[in-house]
Amino acid sequence: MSDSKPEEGTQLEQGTSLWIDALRRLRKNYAAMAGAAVVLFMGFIAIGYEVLSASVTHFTLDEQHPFVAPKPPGARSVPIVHYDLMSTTGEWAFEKVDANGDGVITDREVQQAYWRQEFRTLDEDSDGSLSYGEYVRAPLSLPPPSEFSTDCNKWAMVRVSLAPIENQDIFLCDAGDDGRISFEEAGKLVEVITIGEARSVMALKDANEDGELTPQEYGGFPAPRVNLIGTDQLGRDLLTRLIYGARISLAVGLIATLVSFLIGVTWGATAGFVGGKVDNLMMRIVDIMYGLPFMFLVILLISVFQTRSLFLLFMALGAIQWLTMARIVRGQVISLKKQEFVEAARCIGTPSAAIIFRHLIPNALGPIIVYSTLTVPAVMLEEAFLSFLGLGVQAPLTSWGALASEGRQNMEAAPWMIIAPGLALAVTLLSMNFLGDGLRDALDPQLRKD
Amino acid sequence: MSEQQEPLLEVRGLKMHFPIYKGALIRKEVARVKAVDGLNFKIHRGETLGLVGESGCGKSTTGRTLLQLYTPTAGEVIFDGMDLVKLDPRALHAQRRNLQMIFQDPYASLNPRMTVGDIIGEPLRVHKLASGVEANRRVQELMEIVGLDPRFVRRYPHEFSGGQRQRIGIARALASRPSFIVCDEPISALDVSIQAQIMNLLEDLQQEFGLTYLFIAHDLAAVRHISDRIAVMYLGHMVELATGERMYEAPMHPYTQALISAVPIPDPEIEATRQRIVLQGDVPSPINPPSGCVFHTRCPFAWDRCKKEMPDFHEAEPGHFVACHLIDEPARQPDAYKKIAAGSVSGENQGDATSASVSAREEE
Amino acid sequence: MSESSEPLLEIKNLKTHFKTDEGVVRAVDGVSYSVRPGECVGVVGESGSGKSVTQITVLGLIPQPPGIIAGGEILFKGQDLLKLKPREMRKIRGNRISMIWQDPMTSLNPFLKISRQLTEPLMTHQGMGKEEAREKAVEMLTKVGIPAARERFDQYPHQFSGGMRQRVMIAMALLCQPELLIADEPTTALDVTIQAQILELIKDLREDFGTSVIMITHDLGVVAGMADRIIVMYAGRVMEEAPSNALFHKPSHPYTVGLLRSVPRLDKGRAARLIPIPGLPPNVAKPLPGCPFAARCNWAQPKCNEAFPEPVDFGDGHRSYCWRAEEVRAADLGTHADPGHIDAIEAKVKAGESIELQGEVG
Repeated sequence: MSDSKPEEGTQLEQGTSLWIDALRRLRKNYAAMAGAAVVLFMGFIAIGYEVLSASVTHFTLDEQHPFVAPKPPGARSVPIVHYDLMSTTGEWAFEKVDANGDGVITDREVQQAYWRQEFRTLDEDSDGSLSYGEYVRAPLSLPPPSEFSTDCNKWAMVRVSLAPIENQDIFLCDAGDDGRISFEEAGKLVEVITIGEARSVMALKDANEDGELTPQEYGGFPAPRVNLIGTDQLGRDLLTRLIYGARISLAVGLIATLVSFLIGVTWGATAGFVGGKVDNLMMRIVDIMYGLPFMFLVILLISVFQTRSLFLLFMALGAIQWLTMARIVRGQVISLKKQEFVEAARCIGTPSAAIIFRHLIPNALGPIIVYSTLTVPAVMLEEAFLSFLGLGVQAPLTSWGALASEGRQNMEAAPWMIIAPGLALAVTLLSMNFLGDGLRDALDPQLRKD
Repeated sequence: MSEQQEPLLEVRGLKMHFPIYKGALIRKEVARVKAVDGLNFKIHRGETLGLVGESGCGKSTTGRTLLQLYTPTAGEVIFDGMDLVKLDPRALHAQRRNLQMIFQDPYASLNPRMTVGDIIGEPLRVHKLASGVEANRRVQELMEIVGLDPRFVRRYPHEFSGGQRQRIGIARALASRPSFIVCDEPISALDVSIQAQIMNLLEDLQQEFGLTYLFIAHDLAAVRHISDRIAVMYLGHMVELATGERMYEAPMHPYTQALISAVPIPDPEIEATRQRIVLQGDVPSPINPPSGCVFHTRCPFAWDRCKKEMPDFHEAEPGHFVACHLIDEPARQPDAYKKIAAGSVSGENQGDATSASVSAREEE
Repeated sequence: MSESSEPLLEIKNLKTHFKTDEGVVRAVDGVSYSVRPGECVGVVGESGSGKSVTQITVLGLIPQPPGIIAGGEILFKGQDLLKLKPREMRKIRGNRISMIWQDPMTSLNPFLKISRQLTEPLMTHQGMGKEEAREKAVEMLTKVGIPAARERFDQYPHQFSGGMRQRVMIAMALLCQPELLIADEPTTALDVTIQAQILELIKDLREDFGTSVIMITHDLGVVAGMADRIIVMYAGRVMEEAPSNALFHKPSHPYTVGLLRSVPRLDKGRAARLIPIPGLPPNVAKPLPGCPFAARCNWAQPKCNEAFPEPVDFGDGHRSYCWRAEEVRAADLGTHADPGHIDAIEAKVKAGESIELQGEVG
């Protein structure tokens, strides 16, 4: 930009703009910087859903791996979309999988092979049976519901749906006479794949679709993958859903804020700049809308239209938020309009458009940015609230609010289902608020008086 | 000396009323702030006219109305033969480059998001006087003229001190080569040691570029220092206008007399012997100004006529305008008033200021 | 008159610093002066000179942090105020030492009636009953010139004009008959004619009550008519202290001289051109070992940047903190001085010549 040289080529002193100055102050605010880091991280996660789904979690948003109950963190499932084939040697050699030796692999044999693999994984010391310690460490453990008795008969009635627990007596109910659990006795402990899933796995290779794999067709099966933070009641990987939920939640937050930003800034700036009767009328409209119970309207709207489209959700949430934005912008514009530098611009003869864009907007931007950063978490919370009521995004799409809502229904049996989205929501909202507060402190013109 | 020259600016019957509205949905005008209520005066080419008065007297409004920052309620502002009030927006825009303003608050009068170069260069861009390299060169030249280091052209206002900022404001006002500048309290927000720098700068610039100033301030000493002629305003009206010397030596309006006596002089000897005319009460509200002469509620010499009849702003002696009934009723003039108005109180020798002032204000 | 009497307030080498992002701001950096009973002391300085901070420290109202009282003593009748507990300080503040603030608008509580604000200190500090306190307060309001004080007693601050509010403030400050009244720019927010009223009032009240007054202001004119002695401060330091007349007529510090010559005077016409002090006030966050004024001073010598000068005492309480104080004093640059003479001296000083000391000094 050095299009002119002062005499003797002296260096032009580069000034520090208020934006850079604010950034410098923001950098000093550790809470805000941590908040910014978290928000950025969440943003990357939301953008990177496809990549993360393919290479980190290996599950997709809506692939189901049914089990008797939601799988807890650490349990395994067999991915069907993003999978790596296992080798075809050792335990997974054709002959080993073809347990009855008839020369073809059937779905039942596939299922058994996966179960045996799971058993081998659980059998840490490879002695062919599970000790109490190995039993307890199996990723299916659940806290014992208080009503369960240690009477093996009573226990047997419910144990089909339950995994091992830290109780020696219950372990002994499952175990054989030798006090250890063999593969045959392991039951639900090893059921990583249903027969239906086994058929799907086979179908990946079954070129002639006859329900059997010949040695020629066989080329290894997908490796089981860990559900890092468990699954929901349909066996969908929670981490994958959480990542996708980040996308929807953040998008709702951002787009609704953008909607409120556009309406609010236009409305407020017009009212503030034009003033007089127009201002009076516009702000009365805002007052009236403030008076309406907006959340009810949104709920009504969504219920009536029954579409539950994301677009409607964005619009509805944005429409609630713009009122405050309009008031803030109007206040800013009115106070700036009276500033001497705007008067100076008018005195120079600067046209109105230039006054708005060069003088008013850059100076009003600070509080607007701050309010926007604080609007994003507010909108996200509202979206969560709507989803919680079942009025938010529709399955198979999901958001943190929707996930939390599902989690609420299984809170006792599967606490991870509400803890994970709840934590994600809380951490993100907190971070955004930290960031917003930091921005407010950094941009506050009061601090920059001298 | 300046009386003979043709006026650069002439103000006739200027009124600026601000309506006050009430009501939530239907706005009704309930009252009017009569900030400026009928001014008549001329500003000569190349002179500095000082405009003094207390807060709320309408002096700042006058300056802004002259520059058409407000649309006057009534009256004419004739600049260079054109009535600015009647000009269409295009013509007025063209004239703006000739009429500029320097503001009071060096912090509020510069856009904090713009660089100094952009601020000073704005008039050049708006009036298409220069662009690109030429504009940059001109901006740096202006910075040098007002005593700023041109290397700081890319800095932002917050990186400068109050006095330096005021210099930026002055450079901006000079950029379009105006002939008339309204200085609205340009020094009152500055530190004492900086005020003198800015006043000297304004004087130098006037010399160099042949500027005409309207210098608005509440500080009579500063106005007296910089102005050829001084006008005193009270509650939207001009009560007196005269040359600086006449105004100081022989003020004819009781308000001016009180104002001059109230200004402290930084010399204990003089202060010890000065007699103050201490006015009673406060300035009335401009929403509901007193009837007749607006000053009658505080005037020590007021009588019935002052309450009923508004005095004319007329030329009591050549070049000395005043609005007071006492002028045409000499019989009513109290001795105290006569002495001051006749100029016998201030010393004869204006050059020897000290001795003049020591003897000043023996009487009330 | 009362030179020999025990000082009422004695500030000794006071240092008040503030911790900020940019470093430690030495708002008050080794200030010493005293106030005798019945005396009016004017403290003159520009913004950032530390003139107000000194007094806020005296009142024990420096917020800590960011403020640090880094050293010094404030002796009020021999008692060190800095060593008092907050509870003991509250008994002194508003009772024996009162303050009038610059802005009467913000220093009165807008939600409380004048009556409440005026009677409360009397009831808490002096243990008066409600009726007695009311009588006393109305009497005081009448004394400060509030017309129809009894009728206006139960009004709220906003129902008073700016000048009247400042009168209420003064009444409030004087209620408990303090021994010391600190007035921080009491007239800066007021118009000239109102300023004249208030200054007259403070003068009269000082005579009536015998209260000592510290008048903080940036306006040399205000102190010229009011103060017995004047302290000139700059960048957290005292530059010069002198009896009023001596300060204006025998200034012995280059900064005082600079101030006197840069202020326009109503009694001097257009002819006299102002001679501004060049440069800008220093950044108090970056302390220098020497005299803070040296960078702007025509009289500066290398020594000035090395160490802060010891005071030069001319007797009669006239002290100047300048290495060349005697030369400055001898050059006779007071308000009576002839502009030609001043120019000649300036030329000599700029050329680096020393000014010969003539006549008796002190």
